[in-house]
Amino acid sequence: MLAVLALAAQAPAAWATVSGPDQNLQVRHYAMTIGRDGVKRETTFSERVYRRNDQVWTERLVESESADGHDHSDDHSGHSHPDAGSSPMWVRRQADGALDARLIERHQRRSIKVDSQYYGNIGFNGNWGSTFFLSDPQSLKSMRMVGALKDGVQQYESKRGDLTVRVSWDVKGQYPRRVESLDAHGKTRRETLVSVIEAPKMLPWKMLAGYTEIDYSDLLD
Amino acid sequence: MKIQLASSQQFPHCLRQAPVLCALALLFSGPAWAADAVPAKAKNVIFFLGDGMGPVTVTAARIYGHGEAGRLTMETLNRTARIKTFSLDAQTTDSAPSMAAYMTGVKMKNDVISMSSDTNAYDANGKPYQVKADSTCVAGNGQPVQTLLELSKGAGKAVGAVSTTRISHATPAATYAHVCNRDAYNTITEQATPGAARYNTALKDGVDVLLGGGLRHFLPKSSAGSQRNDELDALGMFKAAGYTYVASGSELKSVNPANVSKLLGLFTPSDMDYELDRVKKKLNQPSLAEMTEKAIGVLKKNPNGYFLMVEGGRIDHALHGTNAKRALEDTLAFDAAIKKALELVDLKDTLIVVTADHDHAIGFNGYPKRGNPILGKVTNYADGKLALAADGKPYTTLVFGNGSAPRRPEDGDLTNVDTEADDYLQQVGVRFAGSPGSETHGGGDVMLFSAGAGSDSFKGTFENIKVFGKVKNALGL
Repeated sequence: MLAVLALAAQAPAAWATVSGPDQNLQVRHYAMTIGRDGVKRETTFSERVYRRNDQVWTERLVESESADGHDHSDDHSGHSHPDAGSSPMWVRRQADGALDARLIERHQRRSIKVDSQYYGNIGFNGNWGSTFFLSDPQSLKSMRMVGALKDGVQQYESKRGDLTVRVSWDVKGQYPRRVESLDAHGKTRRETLVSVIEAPKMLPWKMLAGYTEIDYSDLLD
Repeated sequence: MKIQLASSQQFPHCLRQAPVLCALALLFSGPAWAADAVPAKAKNVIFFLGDGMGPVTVTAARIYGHGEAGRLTMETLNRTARIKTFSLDAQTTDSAPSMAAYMTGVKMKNDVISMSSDTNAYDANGKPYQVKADSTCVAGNGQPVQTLLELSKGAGKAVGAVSTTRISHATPAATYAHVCNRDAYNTITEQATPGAARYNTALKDGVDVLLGGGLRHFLPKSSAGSQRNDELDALGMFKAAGYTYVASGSELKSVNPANVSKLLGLFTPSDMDYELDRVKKKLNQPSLAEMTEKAIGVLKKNPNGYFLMVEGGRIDHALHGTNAKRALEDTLAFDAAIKKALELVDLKDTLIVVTADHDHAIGFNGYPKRGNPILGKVTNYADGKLALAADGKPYTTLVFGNGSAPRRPEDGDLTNVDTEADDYLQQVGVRFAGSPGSETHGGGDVMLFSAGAGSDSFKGTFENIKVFGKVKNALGL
């Protein structure tokens, strides 16, 4: 999840005990590549992220979802697999630092608990720092600070080979307002823009009453 | 439970079809144990099933473990065949009807476990016949059909099932259970539990060896970690029936087969861990080879012989996740179990069959040079340079026809990516709404390798249901 922002692989144990302020965020992802075939390929998608103390809800915005949040398409899909890409992901940090990660399938009204051995299958890196803060604050320490704090934002930059990464970090809000990575030849560029949105009337994880709980492994055939 | 007998043997032994010609052939076949002449009748059968282990996975595992010119142990078996895997209602099967086809000789619909062809896994509205792992199959929705394991048990042989998945998963379940929907894990467990109300009486005094994961379906609802919906204490009932129970790799190591007649090993709540993780994290779980060794040790004490099924079950799971590295590591662990078995058995009285239930959508790409890491990016054989796709980016030798990248809708640039890392997920062709884990099985044929007593008929190209008759004939049942 949010792989471009997961700049460090692991957060130290000490960091696992730290939380940031609650946030309601909209995250817009943009990626561009220009191939050697001369074709420019661009993709964009957006997610909403709600974080409270020890839990984070990340949900891609999908226009085809009906207003009531139910996809009424055919529910008979045989031995189906969860749609890990566009299903909301709910991650909670337990008292011992362990994570409880779930995919939520609204149309089937089920909560799918994902054991850590399957994180790779669903594209979750298991890193609380990059999940909660979008950019793992630990990774910022390995980047160069650029200029002084301005309007509550600290700029960071790193270069590795042809690749440059820039992060605009909201110090008080504890989230990146913008992350950009680009190569020196202008052939690839990624940008993530994060903005604060209104809090939902009801937090999404409080609307799961009656949902069946299953394990991700139940769906492997 | 009343079990319907399968149709008559499809490939009767030559002595039954043409006794004179057959006798002449035997007369001139030279020494009885010449390399190309093995006994027609097997006392024991070990049926190895690599779940999802299609031809590309076998080739890639060979290169990964032994190089291009190397050989897997399964490739040393002298009989080979090609198996058509389609199910009754699908070009691409799932594990339930494909393993059931091997075990019963009956073609059935996807998601059905060892039932007659008229069995449905879903009702007319598409609702599965199971709720929270409990079967809701209705009377009249098909009949159980007899399995090779049940036939063997009926003939007085010892029987066993070993898997790296939960032991109630589709493949092992197809050997000893009958249910209209494969996801009824609790019901499947109950069918194997001696003394339970829904016990499968065709198992007589019980499956002699059961090793794998899935403890949570053996615990009563009130126990921590249970996923049962009732208070059935399956684990307690196994113990009461005389089973030796082990829960870890070290406990299994301490088992002396000479002192054990019935063995139950449940090493994890759900599926066992991938081989890569088992080794790297030093988990106290047995390898598939260790489980195979103990199973043979217990079963071979039966003077009438034995039937053992061994599944490398998580090859399939890693392939669904488009995580080729874990799939190849599990394939090599599966191959190590075959090697261990070959060290322990006498092929004069034992038939070894190794096959897969279905393929996957994995592909072998490009023109990589000899010695290129099979998990690596393609480097051209001609100049050793990275091969580039139309977008100017490198690509890997192993890719998948479908699946998706993790929660990202576009392909990443692999230039600076370590594609040999444990958690690297391969690139995919057709995207399924961004859902890793949803990569599908493939509908292509799979390979079958065999050796030992009764293996002569395992050649050519045939449907999965024909395997049943060949094994049955080899056992003389």
